[in-house]
Parts: sequence; C-alpha cells; structure tokens
Amino acid sequence: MNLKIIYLLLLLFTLVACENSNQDTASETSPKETPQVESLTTIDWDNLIAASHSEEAILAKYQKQIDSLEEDSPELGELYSKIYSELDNAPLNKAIHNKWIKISGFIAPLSYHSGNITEFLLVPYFGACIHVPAPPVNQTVLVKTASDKGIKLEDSFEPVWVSGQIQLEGKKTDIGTAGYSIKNANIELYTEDQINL
Amino acid sequence: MKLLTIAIKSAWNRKISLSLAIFSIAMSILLLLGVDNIRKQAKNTFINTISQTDLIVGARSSPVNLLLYSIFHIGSATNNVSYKAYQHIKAQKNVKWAVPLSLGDSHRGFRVMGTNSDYFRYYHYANEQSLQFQQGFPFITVYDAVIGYDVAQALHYKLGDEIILSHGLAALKQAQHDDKPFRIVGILNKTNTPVDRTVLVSLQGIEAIHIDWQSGTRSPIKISAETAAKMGLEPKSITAFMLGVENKMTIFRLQRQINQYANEPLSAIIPGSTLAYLWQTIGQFEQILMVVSALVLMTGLMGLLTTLLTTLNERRREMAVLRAVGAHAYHVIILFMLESMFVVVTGCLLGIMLLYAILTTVQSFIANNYGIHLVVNPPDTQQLLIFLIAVLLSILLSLIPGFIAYKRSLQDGLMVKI
Repeated sequence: MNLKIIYLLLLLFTLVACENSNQDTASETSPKETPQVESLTTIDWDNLIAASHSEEAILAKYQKQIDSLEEDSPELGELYSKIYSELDNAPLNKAIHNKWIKISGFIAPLSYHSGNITEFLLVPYFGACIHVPAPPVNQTVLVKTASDKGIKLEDSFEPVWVSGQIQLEGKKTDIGTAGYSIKNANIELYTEDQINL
Repeated sequence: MKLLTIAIKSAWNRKISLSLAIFSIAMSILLLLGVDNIRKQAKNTFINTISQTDLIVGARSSPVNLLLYSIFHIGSATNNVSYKAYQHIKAQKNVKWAVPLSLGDSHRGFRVMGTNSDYFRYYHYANEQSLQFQQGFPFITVYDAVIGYDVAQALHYKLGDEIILSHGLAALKQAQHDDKPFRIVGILNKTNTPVDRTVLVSLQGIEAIHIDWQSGTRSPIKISAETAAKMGLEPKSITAFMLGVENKMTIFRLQRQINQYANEPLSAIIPGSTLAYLWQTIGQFEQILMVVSALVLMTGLMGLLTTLLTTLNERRREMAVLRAVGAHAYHVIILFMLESMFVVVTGCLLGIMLLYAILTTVQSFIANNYGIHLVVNPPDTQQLLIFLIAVLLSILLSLIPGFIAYKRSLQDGLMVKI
C-alpha cells in the first residue's frame, strides 16, 4: 500500500518538475550580461533624433517661402519636396552613444540561428517589415543578440523591450550610412499590463 | 509490487479489448507527435534555407509569392525583371553584391536556375554556411551545369555526364532543348535546402537554349549549339535577384526605393521578415492540427474508459475474492489506476516506436518531394509533457470505474450475484 502511494507521488513530482523546467527555458527575462543592470535608462524613440533637429524649426525656416508661393504651383511642390528631404535627413543623436539603454519596439527579422532570430531591425511600429514606407535611419536600430539568446519566431510579432549598449556606427557619407546598433542585446517580451491599447 | 502483478495478470484476462485500447492510444500518440515533429522540422527547413541576403527583388508580386518562387522554387513568377533594372540597382553605391536568378526550365522534374558564378560566393544558408563542391567547380563555358546533391543521387549523375534541359516545369519531347545538351562540371555537397534539387547553369546558357524559342515555342529556324554559343548572349531579362547591402541600416530605404522604381513595377522583400510573416500565417493551421490531434488522444482515452466500464460487472467476483484474502477497499481503486496507467504507458511506447519507423521510411520520399528534412530525434521536453498529460488523464479517468467497483465491493462481500 505504501509503495503505491510512493509511485503516485513520484509521478506527480515528475510532472511538476517538468512544468518548472519548461517555464525556466521558456522565459529569457533576466538581462544577465549587462553589467550595470540598475543603470539601464529607458528611452523613447524621440531620444534617437538629434535635439537640434525638429520639424517646427525646419518649417519655420521655410514658412515665408511657403506663404509667398501660390497653392498648387509647381514651385510650391518643389519646395515641399525639398522640405521633406530635409525632414528626412535624420541626424543621429550623438549624446546617447555608448549608453546602456532600454527601448521598446517591433522586430523586422534579418538573420536566424537555430530557429531563433538573432539579428533584426528594431522599429517603432509594426508593419515596417513589408512594404509600408519605412522609418528613417534615426528611427531604426540594428540589434544583434548572442546566438543562444535569440528570440523565437512565434514571439517576434509582439512588442519587445531591447536592452543593451547603444552605439552610433559608421560614418555619415552621401548615402547616410551612419546608424544605431546594439550588439549582444537582451530581449524581453511586453507583458499584458504594459500594453496600453 | 504484488498489486502491480495482480493488475497485470488480471489485465491479461482481458487482453483482446485492452490491446485494442493500447493500439488506439498508440495511434493518437503517433498522430500528436508526428504532427509536432513535422511542423517543427518544416519550420527549421524553411528558416535554414537562406541567410545573409538582405533583399530579394522580383517583378511586382506578393512578398510570400516572391520568396516562395525565388528561393524555394515553389510556384512561378508573375513577370520578369529587365536586365537593365538589375544592373541599375546593382550599381547603387549602397549595394555590395547582387546575384541574378533566372527560372523557367527544368530537367527531369528538377528545377533549372540560371545565375552567375557570384551565386556560389554569396548564397548562404543555415548558420552562415556557404555552398561547397563535392566534386568539380562552378560553370565556365556556356553549356556547363552544376547540380545539387539530390539531383546527382536520384539520377545517378557523375561529372562529365550530358543532360538535356526541358522548357517549363514538366515537358514533353517537343519542349526539350535537346539540340543544346549541357555538361555537368560540378556537384554540390548536401545542404538540406532546395539547392540540392536544383540544376544551376549560367545566364548565357539560358539565353542560348532560348535563342530559337523567341516566339514562345521552338522555331523552325534552328540555331545550332555552337552557333548560339558564339552569339551575343547578354540576357535581356531575369526572374529575380538577391542582393546584399553595405550597411544594414539602409535596408528599409533601399527597399522603398526599389518598390517605387519608376521604370518598372518591382517588389523588394527582406527574406527574414517575409519568412516570419509566412510562418505566422501557417502557424494558425499548426494550432488547428494540434487541437485535432489532442481530440484524437481524448478519443483513445475514452475508448479505454469504455473498456474498463463494460468489464466492471465481470470483475465483481474478482474484487470480492481479493477483498476476502485481505485487500483493502481502496486497493480496488488502485488496481484500476494501475491498469489504465499500464495501458497508456504501453500505448505511448508503441506510438513512439511506430513514429520512428514511419519517419525513417518516409524520410527520403518527403525530402525529395516536399523539401522538408525530417530528423528522427528522441522526444523533446514538450513531447514528454504530452506523455505525462496522457498518463495523468488516464489515471483521472480510471477513477470512475475504480470508484464504482470500490462502492460495489463494499456492498457485495463474497455473496456476489452475477
């Protein structure tokens, strides 16, 4: 009689143990690699834009010209194109170079390793992946993770928090090759209560 | 221990109906694990097919369609890309490399793809693997061909063999390019990607075989292979091209430029993102399949419950005898639990063995026809969990007949009126 009860208890134990181990492997929530965990600053996408660059400033600069041209004139069209390309200029915010930050966004996958996404572009909104007009260079972050810390494909459609050291890379040339990158990043999924819809 | 022996010996009495129960559990486990295995392997196969390519460009089409026909050789292109557009985009400062792809021919069921020697340099798959030659080297002259591993295996080809290409995906005699045979100069190592089932030739080779096909079918004016090789074989159009950029930050910008290309309608996709999107769509079907399989398992367990319930009456005397020789009342419940645990565990083991047997048998068939490479692995954590749940459910279900027998054994004593 005792033996039977022991058998049953063993069985239940195994089940519980399996559940626990499943949960451990499933969650990658502890940023173990970042040394200064306490000093991770949560930043917003606006922090990635250089402080000096603002829509209002540019529009103000051209306001007089806009007012002087008539509506629907080809010169006005050209002026607007000029303004858009200047707005598009996307200067980077040099002040956050090498800072340890945490930022949220959506994933556009680039590379996989063993079925997990280990390199991706982080963008502010979903749908930047396919063919919706793309965010400018200063609203995109190239993120690389260690090969065993990638995010599973099924989890990559939700918003995520990416933490790590952000760096400005590359030199600005005529094709605007400078950009933000985070190497060896940690990824956490948004929890239910963090999403305010 | 004695109780277990008694349970097994008692079960032997009802071996026929219990074997059927074991078999139905085995079938449902086979289904559950089989579905789980296939979906995981299929996903891995798809993800491992291409890596280190930043954009794929083709005529305007849906992203998934472009990905499927250009990389997986599933489906067809909607239109071609002009060679001029390819050269123009390749010349952009941002673009590091661009490899053209030309589809539309086949060889005995295997797709033929025209490309240039850059393909062997820039095509990567799985975790940054590049194509390796088992024998031979990339094509040099117009009528050279390089074949994938599976093509060589299936058709028993070796270096130097001559092959005839066919027009279209499957063709009859009149659609063969039999006046222009190709010579195999290279055989690639196995990659577990669609490349294994592809015949690679140069773009000039594709132009040469179509030089007298301009009207869409073979023209009565035949141009011989030697003559064709000497003619200018600069391609006018290709099906698609893959490209890599200098700086990944500019991928979105380049993609938008190509999508808005003024001279012809093009689509540019990021393979990683489109793969993820494809899998998200398929994922819903995967879940439905898993639900169906779980329902099948429930059916199997219900069958077991039915067997236990219907034989309850016959076992009243058995229970009465056991009580008389000193078994406690709750031993009755435990006997039933042991019996159902035994059935489910045996069913699980039988199911796994059947699964491995079937997987090993169909491995090569599925790889050749669907490109999915099934690996026979021991069950992973998720699958072990499925087993545990099955056993637990069976224990819970066995409580029903067990409890009924328990109550009756209290009432009956040895005077059992059957």
